[in-house]
Amino acid sequence: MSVIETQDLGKRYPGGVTALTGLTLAVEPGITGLVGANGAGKSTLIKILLGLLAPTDGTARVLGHDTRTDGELIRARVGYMPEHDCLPPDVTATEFVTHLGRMSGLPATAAKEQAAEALRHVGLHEERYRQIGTFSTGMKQRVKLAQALVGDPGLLLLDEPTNGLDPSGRDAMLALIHRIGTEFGIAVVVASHLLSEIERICDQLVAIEGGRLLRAATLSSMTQNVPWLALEVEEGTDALAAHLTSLGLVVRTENRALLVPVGDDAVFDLIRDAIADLGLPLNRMEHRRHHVEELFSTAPAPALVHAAEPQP
Amino acid sequence: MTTPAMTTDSVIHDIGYKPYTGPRLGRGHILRSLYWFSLRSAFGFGRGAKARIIPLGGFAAMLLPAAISIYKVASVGGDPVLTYSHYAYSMSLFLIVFVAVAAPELVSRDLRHHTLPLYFSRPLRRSDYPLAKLLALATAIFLFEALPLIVMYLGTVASSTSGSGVWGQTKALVPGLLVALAYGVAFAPLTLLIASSTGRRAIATGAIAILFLATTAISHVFESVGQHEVGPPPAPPSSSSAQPDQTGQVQQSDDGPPFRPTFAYDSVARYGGLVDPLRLVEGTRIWALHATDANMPDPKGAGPLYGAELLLLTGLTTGGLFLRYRKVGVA
Repeated sequence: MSVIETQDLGKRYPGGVTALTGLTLAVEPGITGLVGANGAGKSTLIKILLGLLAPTDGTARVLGHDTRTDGELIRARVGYMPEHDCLPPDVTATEFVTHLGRMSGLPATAAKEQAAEALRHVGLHEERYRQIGTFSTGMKQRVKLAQALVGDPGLLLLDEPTNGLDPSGRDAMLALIHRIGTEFGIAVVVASHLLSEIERICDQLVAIEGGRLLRAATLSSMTQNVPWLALEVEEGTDALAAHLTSLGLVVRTENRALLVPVGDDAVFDLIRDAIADLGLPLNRMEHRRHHVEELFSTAPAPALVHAAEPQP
Repeated sequence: MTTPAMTTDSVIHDIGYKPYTGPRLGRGHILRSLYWFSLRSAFGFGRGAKARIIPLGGFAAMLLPAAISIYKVASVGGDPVLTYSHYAYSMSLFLIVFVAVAAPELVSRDLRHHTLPLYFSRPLRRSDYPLAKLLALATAIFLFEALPLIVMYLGTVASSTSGSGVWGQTKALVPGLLVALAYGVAFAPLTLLIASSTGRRAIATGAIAILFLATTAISHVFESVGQHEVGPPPAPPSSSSAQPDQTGQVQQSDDGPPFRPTFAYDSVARYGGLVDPLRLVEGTRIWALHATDANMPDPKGAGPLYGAELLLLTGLTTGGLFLRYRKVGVA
């Protein structure tokens, strides 16, 4: 059963601004990336899904409840992590998450336990009695995630969870979200304007642009899991390309590197032998997963596997 | 629920994720716990010790006359230092400080730190948040005003020897409690509305303090302008019986201190209290309870106006507060 289902969802603000039009999608359990540029309608969609904003057209169902009529039921079971800073600096992480656990409907003692659990899951067990104001940006993001996680929600809506984080912080946050989506079994929707970032952890991607659905599909169906191998040699790039092409492989150049789709394991042997035969100094050979970014930038193409070109 | 079941394996890892299976309470419970949380934070509980200095210091100051009174009645005898119904008005400076700190504490913080989206993405409805805050601050003001009265009452009653003394104290306590309630109901929406207009606590505190102090000053100016002394102060022994003159405008002084000169007030003084929220409550008390122990120019015929304005002010500020939170942005 779908976690989120929308049918012809539309939102037009008074004043004529259309935020969403004809949005029909179904989000399955697992981790779903909600991608779109700033202003594409992500925040409007999240507000509608939380039952805070009534759509002007169509319907939306979250965890089986209608957003128009059952907003309270939805919000009791959905954890929301806002994009912007939302933490008071002068309370401890435990106090803050406990209070918000109570605001989600947990009894007092359960809220305390669940807050401790949530803070442990996001890796702030040691620091939970420290005031939030003393936390780093990465730790603050974790507190924001913990308050969404408190009380075991059925669905998490995370709005730009990696905002303001440095690369290692991003990786840690994404790993955490991945763990929540897989080990904890909580359905997660991650809204982001950086597709390349969240595609690593998503099972499904929904792209919206200008309030319309651009594309929604499972990630595996989009990329078909064709791995690409990036090769970089010190010299003789052209000779290697010619050689590999003569062996029947598809070779594309990308700056100084060659990209070769790896259909089966035999391709690795072919490439290894080719480089050895030519006696080329190999600088780099790495697996590169097909980036889905360009899948969104082009019109939905039925035969993605062969049409798409990897462009980092 | 549609949470996918964890069917991958049945091995229990020592500290893995445990789904919550306990009760989930409804909106009513959430509203109640937000009320309780807000009431505690009005007195500075729930955060560092520093947050408690002003509310609890103010409360200690409020208790001071009660303590002195108990001591005086027990050791010297006679009447309490302050009457129950004068207590709130005489100590209003501390109430101003208290609400000027408490109201921003309740609402400005959440605006300042953008915490509201976290509340509104939970089962609460838009109006639940201001409702909980309103009830909490009204209760806090009531407790701030009423607890010293109750302390004074209990202390006085404990040293009282006659049953009629207890009855007299009880009868005198009731108007004091009503005044405390009126302060709570009227000032909570007024101060919360001001505080909810800004996320900056210092500015909200200043605005609330200035509102009360400035209006008090203005009403005192009106009182001075409209005040005319009528004759010399009556001799102390005879002052215990009221002597209204033919105009009916003499400040009745049967409960007042014996040395107070007798004044007559014209309409400027009688209507002047309308600009001052504190005098609005005091004037309404005098009018509604037919009190003769006024601390301000007796409103006389303007009394109903005081009552009406108090109601109107309370209604408008309450409505304004709810309107304010219907418009606040989420996400």
